[in-house]
Amino acid sequence: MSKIPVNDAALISAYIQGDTKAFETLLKRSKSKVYTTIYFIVKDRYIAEDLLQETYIKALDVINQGKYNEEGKFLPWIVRIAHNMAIDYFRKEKRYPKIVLEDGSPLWNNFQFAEESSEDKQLKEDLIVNIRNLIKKLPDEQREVLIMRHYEDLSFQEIADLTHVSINTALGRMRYALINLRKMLDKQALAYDKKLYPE
Amino acid sequence: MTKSFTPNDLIKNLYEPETGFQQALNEDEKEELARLKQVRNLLNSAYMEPSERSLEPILELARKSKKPLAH
Repeated sequence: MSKIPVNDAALISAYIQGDTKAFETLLKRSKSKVYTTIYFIVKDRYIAEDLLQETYIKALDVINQGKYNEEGKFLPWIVRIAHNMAIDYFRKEKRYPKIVLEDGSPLWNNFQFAEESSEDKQLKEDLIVNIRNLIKKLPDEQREVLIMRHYEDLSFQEIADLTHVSINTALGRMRYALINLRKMLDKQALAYDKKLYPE
Repeated sequence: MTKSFTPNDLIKNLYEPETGFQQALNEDEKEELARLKQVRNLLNSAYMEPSERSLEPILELARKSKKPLAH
């Protein structure tokens, strides 16, 4: 049995040498971050899974052609590919007409809702849905920094560069995002308590 | 003499920790950092997992595009 190296750079080298188990480990380590990044942009599980596959196919292509050169930073690299794929998809999708229901909502959002309702039986899924909804309520600038730092693993300096603001502004936005989330969570806890223990 | 930190320093350290930072904090700052950590930990629970079915074609491609290790 081959021993799996610990760091990502070593895993990529092992895969390039022909150890496919090494790639399996890389996939296991990164899939959740990659998938969550895509989902937060496209907001549809099926599309997110398609784009997840396209992301790894692209990554494999780059690695197999010997063009990978990220000095061991596999996760930020693949998350960046995923982010760009999702943004591209989102832009293309907006150009095409879609079926809209009477209330103006797109048809696929309702499929998504139906799927989430059945999954909501599980506590974990409830929590995920709740957190996602709270993140959606944040002002755009705060939500952007929060997703880039927390889910996409970009450094504050990278976020500052990408969003064309100072690092202090990026840090400030992240701070307010966390504070606002905490307030919303506190409010929910209070409402929950009142429901259980009415005054 | 105690060093004072800005709220942004706490945020930076929450995600990009530096050695010795936490020891240099005063009680109020430690409390604030702990509260921020709670929110961060909760955010971790919102990570989503793709289905196993969606991973199979990726692994298949990874295997196909590599020859087995030479012995």
